[in-house]
Amino acid sequence: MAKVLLQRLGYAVLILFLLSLFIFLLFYVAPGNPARLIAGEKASAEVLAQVTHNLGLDRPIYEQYWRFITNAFQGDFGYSYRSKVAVWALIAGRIPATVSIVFGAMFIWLGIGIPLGILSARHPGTWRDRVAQIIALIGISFPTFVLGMTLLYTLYFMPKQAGFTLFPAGGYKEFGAGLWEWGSHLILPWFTLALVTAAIYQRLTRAQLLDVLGEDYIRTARAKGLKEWKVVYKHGMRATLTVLTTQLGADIGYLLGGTIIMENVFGIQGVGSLAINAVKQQDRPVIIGVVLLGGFFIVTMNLIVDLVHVGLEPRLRAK
Amino acid sequence: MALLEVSDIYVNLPTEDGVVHAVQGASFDVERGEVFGIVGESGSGKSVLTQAMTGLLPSAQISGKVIFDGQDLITAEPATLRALRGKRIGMVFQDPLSSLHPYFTIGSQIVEVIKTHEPKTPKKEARERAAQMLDMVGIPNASKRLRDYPHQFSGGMRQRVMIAMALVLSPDFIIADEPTTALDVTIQKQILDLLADMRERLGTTVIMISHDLSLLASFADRAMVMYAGHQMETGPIASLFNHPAHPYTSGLLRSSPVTEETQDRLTPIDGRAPSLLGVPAGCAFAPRCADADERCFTSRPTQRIFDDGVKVNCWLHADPTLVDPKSEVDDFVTNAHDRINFHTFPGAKDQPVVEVKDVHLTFRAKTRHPVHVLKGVSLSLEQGDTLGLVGESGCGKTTLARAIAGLIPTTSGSIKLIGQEVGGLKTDEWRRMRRNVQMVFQDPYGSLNPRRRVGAIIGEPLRIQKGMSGEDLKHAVRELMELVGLDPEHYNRFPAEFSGGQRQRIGIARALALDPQLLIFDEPVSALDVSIQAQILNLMKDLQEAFGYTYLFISHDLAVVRHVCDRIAVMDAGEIVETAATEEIFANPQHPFTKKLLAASVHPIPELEEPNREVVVETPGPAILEDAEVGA
Repeated sequence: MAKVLLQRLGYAVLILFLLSLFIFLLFYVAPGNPARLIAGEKASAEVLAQVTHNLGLDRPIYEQYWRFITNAFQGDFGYSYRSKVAVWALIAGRIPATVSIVFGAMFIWLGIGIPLGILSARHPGTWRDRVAQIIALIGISFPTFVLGMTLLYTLYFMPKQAGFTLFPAGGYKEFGAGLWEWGSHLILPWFTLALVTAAIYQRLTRAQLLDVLGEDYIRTARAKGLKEWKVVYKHGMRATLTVLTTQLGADIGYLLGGTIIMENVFGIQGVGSLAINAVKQQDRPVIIGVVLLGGFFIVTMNLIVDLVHVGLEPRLRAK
Repeated sequence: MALLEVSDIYVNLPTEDGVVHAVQGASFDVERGEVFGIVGESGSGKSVLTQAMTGLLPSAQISGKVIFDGQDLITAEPATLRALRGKRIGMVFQDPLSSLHPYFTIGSQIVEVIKTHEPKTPKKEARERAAQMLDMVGIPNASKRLRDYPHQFSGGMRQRVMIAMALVLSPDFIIADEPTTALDVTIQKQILDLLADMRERLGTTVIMISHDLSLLASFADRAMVMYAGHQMETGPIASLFNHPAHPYTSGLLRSSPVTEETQDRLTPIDGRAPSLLGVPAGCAFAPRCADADERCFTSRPTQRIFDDGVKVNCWLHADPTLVDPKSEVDDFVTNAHDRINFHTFPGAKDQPVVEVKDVHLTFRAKTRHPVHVLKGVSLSLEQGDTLGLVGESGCGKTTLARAIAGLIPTTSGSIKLIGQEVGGLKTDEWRRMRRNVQMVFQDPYGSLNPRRRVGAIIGEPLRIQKGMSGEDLKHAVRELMELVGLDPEHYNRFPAEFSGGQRQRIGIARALALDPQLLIFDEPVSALDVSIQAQILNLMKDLQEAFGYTYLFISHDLAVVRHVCDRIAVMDAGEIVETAATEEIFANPQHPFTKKLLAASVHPIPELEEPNREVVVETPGPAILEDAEVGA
C-alpha cells in the first residue's frame, strides 16, 4: 500500500513539473514583451534592456526555467510584474475567499443533489422521479452567470426596492469578521454554484443507486427483514460512495483553481479574479502561479480520492 | 396443519413491454419438517413465486392465499412481512458472492440480522452467536473470520456464510433458491449435506428451488414441477421420477443427462418456452407437447389427484408417450450432407489431430507470485474422436483449450495440431492454421456481437479466410444455418432476437464455416436449460457422425460429458489426473479426485414403493384471471 502511495505521489510531482514546463514554454513562444509592459511604451532602448536584464529575460530559456524551478522549490514563485508583490502572497490572500465559496457550495449541492437522486432512484419512472429530474435539468441548463444574476435580482434588488435587505450584493468578508458577516456575503454565490452543480450529483446518485438497488445483496438485505430506509441508506448508499467521491474530488479540485464567473458576478476577490486580471495584464509570474495552483489542487484531490477509496473498498485494503 | 399452504397464487409483473404473467394459479402445501422442491427451467416462475409471497417483489401484483402458520402473507402489512423475514423465514440465494454485501464484514452482516429482530441483544452476545453459527456451518476459525469481507472467502465458504446468516435466528422455514447452482460439484455436495444436516438439527422446513431435477432426487421429499408460470405436476419425489404423469415432467427427465445410465442420445423437448406476456387459453406446454390434442390448446387442463399424493394438471389421462430420440435433426444432417460442400474427414490418419506434450503455463505478474496454471499436461486426440476435459473451476481446462487453439502462448512443452507445432507459427501460418481449429464458447449471450447481423457473424470466417463475398457468401451462410437447425430466412436478424439455444447454434455454425478438423467446445451447454441442452448435444453428435469432426469438449459436468465423449480426461489443479474411456471412468475410476467428482455428481433416484396408483379426484384446474383481477 505504501508503495502504491509513493508511486502516486511521484506521479503527482511529475505532473506538476510537466505543467510548469509547458506553461513556461508557452510564454516563451507567445508574442509580447513583458519588459516593454513594465518599462512603459515610451521607455528608451537602454531602459528596456535594463528591465529585460533585471527580469532575467535575456538569459537562455533553460536558464530561466532552472532559476524558476529552483526558486519554486524554496517557495519563491517570483513577484508580480504589476504590483511587485510576491506571487505567493498574492495567491495566499485570495485562497480563503475561493475555498469558502467552494466548500460552502459543496454542502449545499450535496444536500440538494443526493436526496433528489435517492428520491428518483427509489421511485423510478414515477412523477417524483420526473420532478426531481426536471429540477436537476433546470439547474444544469442555466449558465452560471444567468443564475447568479437572477438570484441577485430576486433576492437582492427586489427586496431592496421593497425597502429591506436580505443579503449583501457581493464582496467578501473574512471569517474573522464574524460568522454572519462571512456567511451572508457568501450565501448567494453558494447557491449559484450549488444549483448548477447539484444536477450532476442528482443524476449520478440516481444512476448509481438504481444499479445498486438491483443487486443481489440488496435482495439479501430485504430478506433479512431490514427496514426499507436501512436497505436504501445503509446497504444501498454505501455502495454508491466510491463513485460519488470520485466526482466530488474532481469537482473540488477543479473549482479550487478558481471560481471565475462566480467571483466576477458577485465581486469577490478570489483566485479566479486574480487569474483573470493577471491574464489581462500579461502578468506572467502570477499566471504561472495560478496555473500551478490549479494543477496542485487537482492532483492533490485525486490523491485524496485514491486514499479515500482505499478506506471505502475492502478489496483495495492490503491484508 | 401444514406450515405453508399456498392456494391459487397468481403473480403478474408489470414491465415496460407489458404484463409478465409469471405465476398462473399454483397451489401446494409444505408440511412441517419436509423438504419441498420447486423445479423449473428459466422463466418458469419458480423464483418469482417465492419472492413474491415473502414480499421481496414490491412491484408484483399478487392474488391468492399464502397461509404461513395460520397467517396470510398476501394480505399482510409490509411491516408484518419484514418481521417474518430473517426471523421465521430465512433465505439463501444462488450466487453467494453477489448476495453478500461486498462492503461489510460478514460478522456485521450476520449481527445485523440478530439486531434487527432482537434489538435488545448486546452487541457482544450477538457477535458470539454469529461466531457459533459460523462454526456450526463449518467455517474454521469462526470468531476471527467475523472481521473478514465476503471476497476473502471461497465460493463454497461464502455459501456457508449465507446459510449461517439465514439460520442464525433458527427460523422455522428456509427458502433456498438454487443454493448450489453457482458452485463446483464437489462443493455442491458439501452444501447439500450441510443443508440436510442443519435441517435435521434445527428441524427446519425447506423449500428448495432448482432447475436440476436430479439434484432434488436425493434431497427433497416432494416437489412441484413448473413450466412458464404454470404448475404441471406436484408429488412425492419417487413418484415424479419413476412414474411421471405429465408429459413435461417426463420430457424433462429424459432430456436431462442423468448419470445413472447411458443413453445413446438424449430426447430433447422440441421448441422453446413461450413468452410470458400472453396468457395461453389452454395448457402452457401444449405447443411443445407430443401428446397434445385440440383440447389442450383451447381450454385449461383439469387437475387430477392420485392416491399417492401426485397432483397433475393435464388433459392426458394415459401415460405420456415416449418420443423416439431419433428425431428430424438426423434427416436434416443427412440431407444437408448431400447438398453441402463439406469434405468428410477420412477415418484413421497417420497422425493425431492434437498432440499436447508436457505443456506448462505460468502467469507472472510483477507484484504477485507466479501462478502455475498448467503443470505438465499431455494428451492426444485422434481423428473423429471426442475427448471430454472435465474439472472444477480454476483447474486450468479453459486455459488448456485456449493454448491448444493457439490463443495464448505456453511457457514450455509442445502443442502439435495435425503434426504442426502451434507455438512457432508466423502470422500467416497461424492464420492458415486457424482454419483447422475453431472454438464454441460457453456464454451464447456474451460471445456474439449484439450489433452485427447473424449472417455477418457466421460469414465472417469465410470472408476473412476464403475472401468470399456477395451471393456466394450468402449462399454458404444460409446452408450453414440450415445445417445447424436455424431458419435461413433469419439471416438478417440480430442475436438478441434469438433464444439461448438458437444463439449457441449460431456459435456452432460460425465454428463450422471453415470446415475445421478440430472443434473445441468450452462448456457449450452450461448456460442453457435442460430441454435445450439436449437439442444442442444431439446436434453435436449428428454433425460429428456426418462429417467426422474431432471434438474437444470442456465441461464441469460429468453427466453431460458422458453422453458425448469417447474418452474423458479429468483435470485437477493444472494436471490431468486420469484419462480413460468414458465407461471405464464411470465404472472403475482410479484417481481419488475422479472418485470424488463422480460421487458428487451422482444422485441416486429413490425407489417407488407402490407402483400402482389410482385417481382419487378430478377437479377443474386454475382459472384464467384477467390482468385487472390480479392483485386487485
